[in-house]
This record gives sequence, structure tokens and C-alpha cells, in this order.
Amino acid sequence: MSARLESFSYDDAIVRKFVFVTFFWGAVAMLVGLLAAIELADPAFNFGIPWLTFGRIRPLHTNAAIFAFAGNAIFAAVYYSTQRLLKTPMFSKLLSNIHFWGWQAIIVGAAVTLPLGFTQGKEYAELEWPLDLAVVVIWVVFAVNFFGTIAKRRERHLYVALWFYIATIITVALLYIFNNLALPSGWLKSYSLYAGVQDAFMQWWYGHNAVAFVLTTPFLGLMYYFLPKAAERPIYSYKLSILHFWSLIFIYIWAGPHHLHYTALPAWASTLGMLFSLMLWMPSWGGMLNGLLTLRGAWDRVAADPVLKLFVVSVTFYGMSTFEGPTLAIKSVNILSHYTDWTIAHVHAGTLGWVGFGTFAMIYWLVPRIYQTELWSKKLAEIHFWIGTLGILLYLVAIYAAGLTQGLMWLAFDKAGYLKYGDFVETTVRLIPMYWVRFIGGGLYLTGTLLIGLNMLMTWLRRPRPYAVQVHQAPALEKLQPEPIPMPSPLTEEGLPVSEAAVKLEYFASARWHRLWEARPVKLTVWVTIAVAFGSLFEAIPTFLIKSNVPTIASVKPYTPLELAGRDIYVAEGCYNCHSQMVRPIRAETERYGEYSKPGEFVYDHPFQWGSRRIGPDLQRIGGKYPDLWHLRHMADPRSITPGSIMPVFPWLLSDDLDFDAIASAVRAQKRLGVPYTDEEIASAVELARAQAERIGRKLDTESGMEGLEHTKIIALIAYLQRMGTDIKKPMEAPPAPVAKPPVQEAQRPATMPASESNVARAAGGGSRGAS
Amino acid sequence: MHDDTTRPKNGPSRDELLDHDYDGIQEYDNPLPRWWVMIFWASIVFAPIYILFYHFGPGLSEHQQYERSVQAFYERQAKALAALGEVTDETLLTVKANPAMLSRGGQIFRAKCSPCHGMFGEGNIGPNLTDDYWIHGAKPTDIYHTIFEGVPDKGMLTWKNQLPPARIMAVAAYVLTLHGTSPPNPKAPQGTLVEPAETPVAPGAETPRGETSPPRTGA
Repeated sequence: MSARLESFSYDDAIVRKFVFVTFFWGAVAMLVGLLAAIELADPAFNFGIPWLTFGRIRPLHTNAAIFAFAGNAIFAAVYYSTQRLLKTPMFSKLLSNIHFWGWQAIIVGAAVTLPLGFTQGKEYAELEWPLDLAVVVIWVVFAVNFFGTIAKRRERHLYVALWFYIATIITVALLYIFNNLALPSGWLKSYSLYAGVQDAFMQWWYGHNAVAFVLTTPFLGLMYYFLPKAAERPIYSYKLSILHFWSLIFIYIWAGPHHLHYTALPAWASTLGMLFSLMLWMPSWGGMLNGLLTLRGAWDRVAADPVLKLFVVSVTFYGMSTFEGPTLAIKSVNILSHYTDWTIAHVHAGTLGWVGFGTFAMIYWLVPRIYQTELWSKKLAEIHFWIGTLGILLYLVAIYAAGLTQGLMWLAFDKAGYLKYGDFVETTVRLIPMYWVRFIGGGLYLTGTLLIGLNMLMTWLRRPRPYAVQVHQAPALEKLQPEPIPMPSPLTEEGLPVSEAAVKLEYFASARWHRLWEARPVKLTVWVTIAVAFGSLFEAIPTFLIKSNVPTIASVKPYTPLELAGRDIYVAEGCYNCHSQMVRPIRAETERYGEYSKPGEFVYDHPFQWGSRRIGPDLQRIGGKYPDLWHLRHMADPRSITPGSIMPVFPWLLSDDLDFDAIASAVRAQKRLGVPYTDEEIASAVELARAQAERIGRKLDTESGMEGLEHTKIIALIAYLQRMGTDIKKPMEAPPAPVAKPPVQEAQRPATMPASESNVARAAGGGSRGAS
Repeated sequence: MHDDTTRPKNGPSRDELLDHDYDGIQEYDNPLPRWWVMIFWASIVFAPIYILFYHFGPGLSEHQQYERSVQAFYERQAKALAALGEVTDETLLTVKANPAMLSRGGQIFRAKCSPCHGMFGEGNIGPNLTDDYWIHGAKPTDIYHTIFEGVPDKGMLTWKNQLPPARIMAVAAYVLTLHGTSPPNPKAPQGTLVEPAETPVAPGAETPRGETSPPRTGA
């Protein structure tokens, strides 16, 4: 190459910034997680403070872990490795800094708004619309900076880590924008554009692929750069990189509906979610193989090097989680696992193990390089490794046990076919010891994180001042010349001619053509977009367009203005973090909760509130189940009604005034989303709400001996709870129940023989045991 | 350490380096592990088979499976009810006379009924069960049926699918023993007055009551 050598140096200041906030927000996210964990072990630990209540801090924990801890770790990895893989500093230092400060500002915004109850009510998509807009703007800044860097690169071919970064940037943008489309009704309040089944579909397309494209693909990119650097070994198989990259991004995007097995989502979508999850197993393991097999020949160093040790555990957890994921996606396994702590264990194996340890490995490798001095204490890093591993193990053992315990108890029938644990709380109290072990495990993991912070601090204190700036040299890229890729020989080894099709097939299978794509970032990016858009559209279009997916139920009507206000409180308090609103067609659930949920029941639910975890019981059929007074007493002090309950107390709902004036804009926004409120209803929304509140409140005032309840939030919440899931029971318009219940009464009538004491005692079970 | 010792079992690792070099990272031209390719293909081939079987073939849909399980349960329950015989005032009074059954009924009452009716039947969210006022009838069978079917409009739960009929009988019998007791903090009467005389008296009025019932102080 005759091109003139150009001199340049890398911007490591931005990497130092991102590495620091990775640690900082990681510690915060884990601390909040620890608080959430102890509140489940004992609900007194929210200290009766609204903004410390589980329903509000759990979203803070998940968002902080995903977008602040993992997010900043990704940016640190991208900013360090991209410059070096492309032999150029970033496209724009200004954009790098806007990206950094913008992202931190968003995190602070989230940390303030989420505990205050400003939420969209969709998991990991809780941030309200102004913050969403900020996320999109900053993401675009990041994308421009990244693709700008590719444009001015001095390395012809893009390495596999960069493919994964490209897939991340493109897909996260698609997911984030389309799932968060919402209509604002105020500065910090909006309603999802989608309702019910469609909203659920979009949410889990997003939710599952947030795991894919925030917690998986960028970390594979991270692994592909930092693991071979640390191991000083070549990547095991280039061909495997190609195949597992494309199959992973193409297949991952289909798998979202496995979060909605046995729900009101149409069965075909659920089936696709399951089958593509199974297909995803090997593409995921491709990454694990390339990681672990790259360490061949370096295993002797693993024992001595905390970086490699952390990577080995990280990649192993990746392999375990990506085997477990397809397992959980199998419908019959999902009956047991869904809504239980098993899912929580699964996601923590992924985040604490794969993401967390991968991030720590990167940081330990980076720290001596970005602070330009030796790591302060390798021994401390070793301790971090062991304390973190022990923390993960304690966490996982406890929470897997909790998940299995609760799942099995929910499904258990006695010999006569009745629920063995008919009271939900029986299953809750069984988990409390495991919740304490989880708390200890999480505490150990956080301790480890604080140790890496200490190590970073001490290393940073010993940094050279100023930092040395290393100058690199490389020739600029010349105009792209077509590279000849040799076609396979048209003759077999024995010299016999091969058909043209076979030659083409072999050319395709050899993946040699991929080398050309690696030199053409635009082409690569376009194909990445096609790969992720294909599965998305294949599932989304029928979900939105085919009417039979959501059969209309005539008796299902929009919420009254007061109920709508109550629903907003339900969302703001984060009730969906502990309660589902989705009874599956499984007898153990219909016996416990009532008729299973129908797609048509949710057509006015912007956003849907099906939930994903039952820390408390399902609420879909709570409407009318208990008197208003029950709810009043229960919200004020759940344990006065259900001893052993771990639900937080909500005394402020009984004292805070309901903002009746805000109801008008809420109803107007819902109308714009297609909820058929009449003009009179909109015009008189506030009066309607006041009238209904008066009716419920007056009665409750007398029954409870309290005063002025009709002005408080609790009345709206009770109105909503009492409405929930009742529309299909309305006699006139309700369709015939799909399951014809045999006439139990008649079965008992024809028997004329009087029940004898002995057969009653026998049937009552255990009755005779009490005799003495 | 030479690579041969850690070579994967399937698929030869030739470990030929490609002429790729990214910031010092090199790549081998190793083939895909054979088992990896086989499982990947198997997972792909499985998909159409599953779809054909469950969506176009004999596989039961989740709703069909559900209906079968419900059907099976109702058949079982009907049989159990038939075996139990007709529930009459007399049978319930017999149950009331059985200490073991009453003790069982008391256990269930305290676990499942007390949140609304109070630990001693004094009433709380639900009505007082110790006074002479009844909303849905005072006869033993009335009480049994109120528990069995519930009164969904008023917040009384339906228990027929939660508790086997014999246990509902035990609870009903236990509720009969609460009548006339004087628990602390009684809720004001609701419903219509049923003269105590109308309440059938158990054969042998000295039946034992649930062990936590406060002593009866007046009749």
C-alpha cells in the first residue's frame, strides 16, 4: 500500500467517563434492588413512604440496571473498542460528550420521576414521554457519532464486534420508538397508543428484545473485543461468528410472544414465540462457544487472571441463560414458571452473571489502560470475583427455589380435585425465608461492586498527570476496489463436474461472500435492518390487522371517568409489578381467580396491565368479589385482612385528594385514542366522576366511620378495582360462556339418600383426625 | 499448551489463521461444530412439525385442554356430591353434633371466613353471624347454600369450587354454633330478624362449640 500514513490518537477521556458512571449507576441500581428485595421479605421496609414503595422502586431498579448500568457499560465498550477496531478517533468529540451528559441527565430524570409515580405503566418502558423523547434524541446522537466513525475509518473490514454494535443501535431505536408511542395528556402523563392485546404484543416484542439488543448483542460485541484481547488468543471460528450473528438477530426478534403464553394473545403468535425461542438456542450458544473456545490454550492463565476468570463465569452464565430461555419458552414449562420467581431468577442469572461479570471483566482490563497505571490491587479483584460469585449463587439458589415452590403450590390440587393451597397467601409466606437469602446474596454482589469502585478509585489516584497521549499511524482507506472472492471449483475432487446450483450453494455455505459485506457498512446495516424488521412485521401486522384475533365482546364498555382516574392511580403506584390481570385458561387459575381472560375484554386498556409476576394474586376478576369496605381496609393495612400478606400499606391513598380536574384531559386523551366516550361524557367527565365518588364515598363513610373519603384517591381506585373484569359477567349482553359448566346443583339434587355422618366426615378429609 | 488437547470432540479444529487483524485480534478459520449444526437444524425442522400437529392436526389447543380438565373435575365433583347424599337440615345438624367435624369447620372458618366475618363471627366487612338477624336465611341449609353458591352481588364469595361439599357442610355446621354467642365488638345487625325459636335446635343442645368461641352468655 502506497498510501500516506496518517497520525491520530484515541479519545480515552470519554471512555473514562463512561467507565466511572457504569460503576456508579451499577451500585445505585443494585442498592435499589436490595431495597426492593428486603421489602419483599418484610414490607415494613418501605417505612410507609410512598416513593420507597415496591411498586415505584422496582421500575427504578430495572431501568437503572438495564439502561444506566448495562447502558453505560455498553457505551464504554463501544467508545473504547470502536476507535481501535476502526483505527480512528470517534467522529465527533462534541457528540461523544453530548451523548455522555445527555444520557446521565436522562438517568437522573428517571431516578426522580419513577419514584414519584410518573410512569407509562409498561415494564422497562416506564419513562414518561419527555424522557422518552430525550432517549431518542441521545440515541440518534450516539448513532450519528458511531456511523460517522465508521465513515472515516482506516480499517477496511468491520470486525464482528462492530456488527453486533450496529445491530444494537438499529434495533434498540426501532424497539424503543414503536413501543413507546403514546399520546400525552399532561406534562408527565401519557397513554399508550395501543390497547390490550396489541399493547401486550408490542410491549413484549420490546421487552424481550430489550434483553436481546441491550443485554445480549452489545455484550457479545464487548466479549468479541475484550475477551480475545485479555486472553491474547485468536477468535475460535470466524465462520461461527458470521452464522451465529445473523441467525441470532434474525431469530431473536420473533421470540417476544413467549412472554404471553396462555394469555389472551392469539395462539399462533404464542406458538411462533415458542418455536423461534427454541431455534434461538444454538445461535445463542454460538456466542458462548466462540467465547469459551477462544480461551483454548489460555486456560492456565484463567486461574491467575481475574479478568479471564470473570469472563469465563460471564460466558458460562450466558450459556446457561440461553439454554434456560428456550426451556422457559416451551408452553408446558411456562405454565409452571410464568408469573413466578423463576423468571426473576432467569433474568438475574443473565444480568448478574453474563452482563455484570462481563462488565467487571472489561473494567478490570480497561482500568490499567485508561488510567495508565497498574491496577491498584489484583488481590481485591480476586476477592471481588469470589464474593460476587457467591452472591450470585445465593441469589439464584434462593430464587429458583422460590419460583419452583410457588409455581408448584399454585398448580397443586388435592385428591378430590380442589386447590391444595386455596389461599394465595399460603404460597407467599412459604417464600419469605428464600427472600431473606436472596437479600444476602444481593448484598454480597453489591459488596463486590463496591470493591471494584474502590479499586478504580485507588488506581485513578495513582494515574499520571497529565495522561500520556499515544499517537498511532495508519494509512487512510483508498477507494473501495472490488475484492475477488474465489468461487468454489466447479469440479469435485475426483475431477467430475458439479452443477452450477451446487457451486452457488457451496459458495453461500462457505460464507466467503460475507467478507465483501464487512467492507460495506451500509449494505451490512441495511441487511441488519431487514433481518430484524422481517420477524417484527411478520408478527405485528396480523396482530394489528386481523380482527378475529380480538373478538368483540358487546358488553365490554369504556371505564367511567372515575374508574379511569382509578386506573391511573393503579398504574402510578406500580400495582402491575406485583399483580397480573390475566387469568390463564388453566383450571388451577380459573378456580383460584375466576373465568379466564378474553382478548375482547382489554380493548379500552391503554396501556394494558397484564403484568408478568404474581407477587400477589391476579386481579382480573377482583371486580365485585369483595365489598368496597374490604378494599378500603385492605389498602390501609393489608395484614389486617390477610395475615402474612407482603403487600405494602397505602395509607396516603386514603388521605390524598384526588385531582378531579385532571380527569377531563384523561378522558379526552382516551377518546382521541379511539375509546368511544360520547361528547356529553367528555363535557361532564368531572361531574360524572364526582357523582360516582360521592355514591361510593358516602356509603364507605358510614360503613367505615371515616369522613370525606369521596374526595380521596382511594375512592377512584376502588371504583376501578370493582369494575375490573366484570363487563363479561353482565347478563344481557354477555356471550355464552365458552365452557359450559355441568349443573352441579342437579348432580346433588337427585341423590335422596341423606348424607350420613361417616361419609361426610370421610369426604371432609382430616375431620376424623380432630376427634379425640 | 498445544491446542490438540482441548480440541472439541466434533468437527475438526484446523486452527488455520485468517489474514484478519483488528487491533491485534486474529480469527481462526475453524468450521462450525457438527453437533451445533445438527441441533440448530433439528430446532428448525421441529417448527413446522409442531405447527402442523397443534394448529392443523390432532393436537389439542390450550382451550380444549382446559375444557377437558374442567369437565373431568365437574364429573368428579358431581360423583362426590351424589355419594354424599342430599344435604338437609338434619344432616347438617348431625354434622354439628360431631366434634371432629366442628373442629375442622372451625379451622376453615378461621382461615377463610374470619377476614370478613371476624374471628368469632362478630362481623366486620361481612355481617355478624352471632345475632338473630339473617340476610340469606337462618336454616342450616340456607347457610350451607349461602356458602356453597355465595352471594356475588354482595361480596360473599362462592365456595363450591374452593372447598369440597363436605367441608362446606362442616363450615356451615360451625357457623350454626356461633349463633347466640357474644363475641367482642359485635357488628350491628343486618337483614331480617329470625326468632330464635325458628332456628332449629340441634338434637342435644349441649353440642361442643369451636374451641375459640367465647362462652355463650345469654340465649
